Amino acid sequence: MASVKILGFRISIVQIVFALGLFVRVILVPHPGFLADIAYWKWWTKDPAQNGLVHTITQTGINYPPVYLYVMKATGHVYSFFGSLNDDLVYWDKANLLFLFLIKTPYILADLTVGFLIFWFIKKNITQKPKTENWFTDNLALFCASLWLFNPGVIYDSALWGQTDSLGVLPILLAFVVATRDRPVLAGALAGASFFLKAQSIPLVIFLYLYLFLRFGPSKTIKAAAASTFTGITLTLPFLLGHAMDRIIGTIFSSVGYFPFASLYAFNLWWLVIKGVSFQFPDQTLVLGLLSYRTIGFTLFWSVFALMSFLIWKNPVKDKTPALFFSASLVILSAFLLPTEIHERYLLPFFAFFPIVIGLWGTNLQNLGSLGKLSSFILLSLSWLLNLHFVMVKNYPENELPGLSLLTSSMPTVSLWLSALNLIIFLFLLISLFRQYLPQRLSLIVLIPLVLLGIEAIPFAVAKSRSPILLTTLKPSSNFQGFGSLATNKSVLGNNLSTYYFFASNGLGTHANSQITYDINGAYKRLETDIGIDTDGTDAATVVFQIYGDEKILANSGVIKRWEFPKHLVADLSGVKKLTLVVNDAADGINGDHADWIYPTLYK
Amino acid sequence: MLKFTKLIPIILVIFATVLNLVILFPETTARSELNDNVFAFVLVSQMNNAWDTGKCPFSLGCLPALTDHWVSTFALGFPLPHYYQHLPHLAAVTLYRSLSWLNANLSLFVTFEWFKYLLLAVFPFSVFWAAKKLELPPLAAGFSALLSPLISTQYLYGTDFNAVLWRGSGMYTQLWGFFAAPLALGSLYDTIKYRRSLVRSSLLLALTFSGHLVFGYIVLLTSPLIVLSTAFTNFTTPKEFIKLLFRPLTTLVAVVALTFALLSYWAVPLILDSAWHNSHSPWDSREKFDSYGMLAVTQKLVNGDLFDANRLPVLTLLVAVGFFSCLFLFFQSWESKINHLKIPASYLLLPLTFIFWYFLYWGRATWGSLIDLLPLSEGIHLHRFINGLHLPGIFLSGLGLSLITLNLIKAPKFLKLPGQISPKIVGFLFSVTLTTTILYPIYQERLKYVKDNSGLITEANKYISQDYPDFLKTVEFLKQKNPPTGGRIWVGRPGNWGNDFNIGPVHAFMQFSMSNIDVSGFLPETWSPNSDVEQFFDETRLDHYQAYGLKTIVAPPDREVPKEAKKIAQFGKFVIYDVPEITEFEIGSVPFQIVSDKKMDFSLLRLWLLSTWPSYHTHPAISLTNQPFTNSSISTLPILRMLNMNNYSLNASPPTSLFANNPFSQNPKEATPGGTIVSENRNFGNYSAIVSSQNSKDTYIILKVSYNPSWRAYLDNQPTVITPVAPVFMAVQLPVCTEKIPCNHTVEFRYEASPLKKILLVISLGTLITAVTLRKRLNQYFSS
Repeated sequence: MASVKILGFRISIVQIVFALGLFVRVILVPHPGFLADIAYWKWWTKDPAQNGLVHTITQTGINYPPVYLYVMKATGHVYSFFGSLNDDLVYWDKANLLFLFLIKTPYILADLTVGFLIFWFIKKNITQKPKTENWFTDNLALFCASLWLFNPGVIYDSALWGQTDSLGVLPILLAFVVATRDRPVLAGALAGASFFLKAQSIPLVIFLYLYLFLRFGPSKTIKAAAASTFTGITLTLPFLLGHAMDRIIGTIFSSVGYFPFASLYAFNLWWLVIKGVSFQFPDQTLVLGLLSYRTIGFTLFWSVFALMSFLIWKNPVKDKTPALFFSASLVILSAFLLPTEIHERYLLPFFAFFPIVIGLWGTNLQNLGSLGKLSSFILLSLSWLLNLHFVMVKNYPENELPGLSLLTSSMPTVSLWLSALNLIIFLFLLISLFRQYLPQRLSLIVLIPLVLLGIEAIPFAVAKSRSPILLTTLKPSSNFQGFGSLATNKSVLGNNLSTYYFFASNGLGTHANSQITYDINGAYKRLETDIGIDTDGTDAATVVFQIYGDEKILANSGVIKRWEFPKHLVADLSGVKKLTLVVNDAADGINGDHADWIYPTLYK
Repeated sequence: MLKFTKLIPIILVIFATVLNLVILFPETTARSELNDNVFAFVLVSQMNNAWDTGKCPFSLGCLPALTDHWVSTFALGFPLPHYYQHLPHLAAVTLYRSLSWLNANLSLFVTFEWFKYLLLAVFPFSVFWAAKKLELPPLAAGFSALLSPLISTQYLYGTDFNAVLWRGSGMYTQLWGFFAAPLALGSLYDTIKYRRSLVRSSLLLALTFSGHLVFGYIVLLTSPLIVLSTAFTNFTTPKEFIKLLFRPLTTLVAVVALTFALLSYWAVPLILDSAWHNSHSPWDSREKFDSYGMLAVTQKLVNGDLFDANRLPVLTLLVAVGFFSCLFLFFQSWESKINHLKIPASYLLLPLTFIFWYFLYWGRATWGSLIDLLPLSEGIHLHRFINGLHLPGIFLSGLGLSLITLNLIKAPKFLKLPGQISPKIVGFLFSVTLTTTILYPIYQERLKYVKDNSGLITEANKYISQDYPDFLKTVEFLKQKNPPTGGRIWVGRPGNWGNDFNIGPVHAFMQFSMSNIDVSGFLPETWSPNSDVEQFFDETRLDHYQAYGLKTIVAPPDREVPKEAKKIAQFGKFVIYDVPEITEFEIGSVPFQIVSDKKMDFSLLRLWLLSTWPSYHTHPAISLTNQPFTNSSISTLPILRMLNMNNYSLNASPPTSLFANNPFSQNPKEATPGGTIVSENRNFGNYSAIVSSQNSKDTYIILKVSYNPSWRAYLDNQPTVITPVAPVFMAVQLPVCTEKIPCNHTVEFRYEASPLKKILLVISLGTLITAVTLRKRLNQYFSS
């Protein structure tokens, strides 16, 4: 590897590149970052340092997995060594340089470590191959590491924004790397750590296990699973001893549905579908009145996941490493582009995995596929940078950069083009992968998503064709309520539906103020329903039930109190396209207003 | 040293049993039951009565009487043994009857208490035997036995003390499940793998079902995993695997068929008459039927709440160690063709079973209607599937601990010990010390739990002693008062003042039921089709006392009662009132027929009770089989068909809501037919009356006792048709009196095991005798 002499010291190009990577990050440290996130970090740094880990996980509403809390706690202790966590004026000041330095340092170090890992792994793989005369190939490992180290989005995310994502990438990337180097147990242990560090890595952990099973067989995979489990136990020991593991599991599992919206500013399929109109576009919105965005999104994602798994299993190529990293990269990319509820930052792991794909093909750069991959990477990097910057400026306009301001002003339109571009790149890479690995006789499996969506839609299509039908068999196109979430066939508290102890097996348990909307497209003539305050409600509960059709009121219950028999409402739905069930608080506040729509039935 | 090592597993089992005997002894000193065991003891007590009425043991009527009799004590009566596991109650009574020959002063209650105590104490032996059958190493079997009584949950109804002890849930039949399920699982494994002891496995599976239906269900659903594990041990190719499945599958089918034959006397009528068994009480929490869902179950497991409530999650970790070790050892052996079959199939079976029940324990809350693909799953309490986790968990934890211990024994080999010190002894001491340290938090918590239990029993006994003399006098008075005039007592319910009216810590309505007094409003018993609506009995309405035949009130002195009720006695805090002119029979009319299934009638029947119709003695006929009546007098009546719990259709008209058109909102159109109850009598499943009817047609004599197809009615000693009427009582039509037909009639209702039941009893008994007698031949046939 080439080197240069600076001030009498011989320094390798590698060292220079990594030093540069560090330098560009360090100069961004004083930036106050994404203020809301940094404020949370401050809270979740101070609390564990002063009250312990269990207190933070149970009392602060933290929605990050537990291992990250260790980083926060350590940061808190180091901070208190140099400053005071209780000096509110300084601590909560957005320009608190000490805090910014301490909190961003782990991410910056993670960035550099991931870069080194890419460099080391590609170098190891290339040295196993016959050397070529190509200069570019000789320096391929460094080039690929640079794709990560100098990726503007990665730098933006870690050093400017102050986000944790690269910390989450480190163990899972390392797990993949060691797995390909015949260390399944270590891979398992790292996967366990990854699970408790970043919930978004769960699909990759599953994917890794599939690879371990195919490559090493069941017994070693079980060893790896044991390593995952006991690493997880070790890492969560304070919470286990503090009887707070339920909260940890809740934190990890509740990441789905935490923000039930189509796209959380991610320039993906759903951003395109909703035309970028809102951060809070409900992902329960129906397509053709049958399947929700969420169902379609998750079906598409898990279908791609299944296809990738199938490729790993069935591809005839002996060396599965390139296919593994390529498939894993596409799992990450599809996890960003296809499901709903995705944040803009979730694409970051792709930029760690995909340089390895480029590197492993790099020895044959003349290959058009490699150039295509490189171009895809560069385009996605730029698109993602704009995505991050768009979100930053949308929330904190003072962060506008001179060169990007023109673009930002037209971002609502540009973001749609970028979403489309991201999808096109995804399809290009997918086709490229299929062409390389999918045996032609099995090519029909690409129809899996369509088949699954069809199967999922059948019950709703059948239900819609019937009369009378219970409204609970249809999916609302949107709903919101003042407390809890809409419950089907149970009360909002999860108990049996009952009004004054008149129990019912079917209905909707909701809470004032509530609005549940269905797209019925003029298919029904009448809605009949019983209504009442659920027995779970409080004595002071009062509500009004109303049925709206296309914004016009069709039925009104008047004020209903708790200990009343159920009442019956009928609404004429002739020609109604949008049916909305409303429960309001009868103008005395929503406290204890548990309301039930009992056997709501549509007639044609 | 070698001999001593071999003895260790036995020492562990004996230690666990002796410790149980010592720490659980206070259970035998309880003077009363507190929770579900009240229900259990009432059933034992009624079984004891059935022993007498069936003239047991040397009478042809004995077995039908013991396996199917009327339990009149609560919820307007219900034939619990017809549906509910009854072997545990029969066993307690048989023991009592046997011991009574030796000691005439022995009481049924004391026998029951000791029986429970001993059964729980020897639970480790069951686990040890099963572990041996599952081919676990001796040390693992010993540790499984040692750990078996140490699971701790917080009212999750698992295989732990909390489910069965006095301070816990006191579930006697579940205790039978604890004991029988490991035996059945171990034996089934042995039978399926080696094609031997087919009869033993069938008997043990039948015993498990008879002990506790859910435990039998768990073992039965686990048994295909035994087939899979056994076949997988020899797996080479998928085609070969299908062939490998065949032999163990046929064995399993044979075991299940034999088990079914043994249980047919119970299973067939249970299924055929299920419409009249209230298996879905809306008063029960949803979690009972739906379980907790994926997230909550996972949280409980990871938090240690499924094995280690209120302590460090040591057992949970041992289960995890056992789980991974088993799978690893199995697949390591499976992959290595040289060591092939060195590790038994149980090493695959136990983790598979654990995963299987972990998924099923998520219940309907996660799986939705998919869970209904499981046989009988609709009426099963899915939250009890925790026992499906505990069953393999016990063996996995034992295996985990044994592996840790064995590795600790080997540890000193790596130390440079002086020559005179034996590494074996150091290793042994090292492992004993560390094992004790590992188990310390478990024993610390369990001993505290049991100590608290003992303290609570002692305290309860003290308070019971204070109230007991007056209670006994009250019971004595009631027993003299009620027969032969009939009637039940109203003594409050959990939802009102009954919650504070206690004998010591025991609710009065429970304590009276334990003394064979028929009470009303005992909600824990939700099996009767009357129990759900009975909760709306309004103690201020005299017609409700008449509707339910509540002739007597027992209440605290400060309690207001209807002005018509007359105080007839007082013993301390127990004031006894007589409600005049209340009868268990009444003359009434049947204006239309309700057609419903058992899950839809609740609101309709509640509206009936709240209406004026009970005071008019007007009871619609009710069919819970979803089929209209076919007998001529009822079939011509209008049909009110329930479409769901709120909506109905009258004579095939468009659906309407009960709350838009309450069918009982107006007084009945027809006047109450005239007639009087001249006299009435009751005696353990036998109710009779002499009635005098007036000259009107469509007059019915109604008995306010839960309907069941096993009831037989006789009008003037001639068999007659029973019509179930609202809420779910029984009615018999009286003929119009003419010159030839007198107006006075004798009506008798008898609860009898049906002819089908008697035939099935002969089949079951015949199967049992044949199977036991010919077991060697049968086993030979199957092993060939």
